Amino acid sequence: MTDRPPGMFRRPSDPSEPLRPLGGSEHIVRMHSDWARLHATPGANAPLGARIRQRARAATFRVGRSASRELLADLIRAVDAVAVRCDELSGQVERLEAVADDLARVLGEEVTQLRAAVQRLEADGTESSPPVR
Amino acid sequence: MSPARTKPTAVVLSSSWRRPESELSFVTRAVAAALSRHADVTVVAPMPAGTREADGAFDVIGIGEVRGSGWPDARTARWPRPPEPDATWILDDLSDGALALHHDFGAAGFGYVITSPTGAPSSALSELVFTPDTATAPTTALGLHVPVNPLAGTHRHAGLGFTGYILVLTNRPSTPPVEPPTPAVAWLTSRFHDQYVVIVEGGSAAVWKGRALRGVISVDTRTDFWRLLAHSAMTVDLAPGEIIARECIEALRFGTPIVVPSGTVGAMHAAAGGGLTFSDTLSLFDGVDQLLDETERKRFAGHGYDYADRLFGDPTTFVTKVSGLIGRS
Repeated sequence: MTDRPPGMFRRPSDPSEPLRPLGGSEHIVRMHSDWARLHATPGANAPLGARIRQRARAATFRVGRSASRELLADLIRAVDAVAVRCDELSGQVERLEAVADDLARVLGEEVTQLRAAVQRLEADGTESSPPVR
Repeated sequence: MSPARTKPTAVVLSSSWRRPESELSFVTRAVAAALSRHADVTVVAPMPAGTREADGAFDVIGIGEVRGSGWPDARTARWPRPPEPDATWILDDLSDGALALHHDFGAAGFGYVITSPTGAPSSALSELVFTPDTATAPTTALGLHVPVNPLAGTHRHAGLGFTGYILVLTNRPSTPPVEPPTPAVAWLTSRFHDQYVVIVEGGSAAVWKGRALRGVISVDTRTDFWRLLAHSAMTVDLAPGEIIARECIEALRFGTPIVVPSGTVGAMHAAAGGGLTFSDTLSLFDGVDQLLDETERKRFAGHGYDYADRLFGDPTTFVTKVSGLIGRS
């Protein structure tokens, strides 16, 4: 036990809990639903008042704010793209954490076992080697 | 005219009595308590002459003390009442001062010494043997009563959310910083990455896993400690006690196998079937690896439990065996 002991980690190497995918998250789903509702044509069996209100709202949105509408559409597409990329990155981090933990475990255990074996060989060699004159 | 004696007498000359945290004191107190069932026991500790200190069932008396060496010169010792010439003497100290007192005041009676079985044998007095040297001759040992609370086995320590860990009892003195761990723990947590390694030292238990510190919990009472012992997969005692290796016995009494350094008293318990020994890091790994196998662990746990229960679990048997010390050598 006189040999220098193995060093300790400052943080555990355990993989963290997997992140939940952003793609299906509540906020993004709601954003898509709201966007679809703005453009929905009223159903044939909807009451007359509701159909008039829906058509008026859609017409106002189309005529008065076409620039904003384009921007909003772009923004939603951008958010979708970022969410997809985040999910891909999360997956990659998860895999890297698993690899790092495997490396720490497998290599750490094997190197430690080897060091202990070398320690014994050195001790045996010291005991059996003839005295130096 | 002094009243006629109805019981034999015994003198316990103890330099460890007033250090109750020491294993030697634990053993000496157990022997004195067992002796008191059959003899009038006088407990003497290095204290100023004429002093008397109440301690449980005994009044500890002082016959003088010398700073440094402890015991007074036999010629200057002042007894409240000189010991009976045929008294049985128990010493827990083989110093010249203690032997001189026994020589001057108790040479006519029988004398025994409580000492480490791994130390040099005493030529002056009979040694009390508490632990069998091999598993083949368990009846020659006196044994002892090492109490544990079996209820500690029913609930794990509240600070831990898991069981089946490798419990390590430290070889570092006093209260060292938690990080870095003692070298044996560094080796163990590196070699057994997925195992929880719990080290007890300085009134707390530090939890290591995968070379990283996971937390520190307090060990406030002996029951807390017993819970840790009872729910571990094995106990690695890096520095077993020199007289009986008390913590090893406690572990075995809970059915927890032990891994201990060879050449220690703990190794005697291991040789009796309760566990394995190590002499270097590689053999420590081999021992722990073997006990991580559940079949092997159960085998050692069963043998160790039977052994510890037979020799260290029955106060009546111990009292009976101690009574045999009176009046013989």
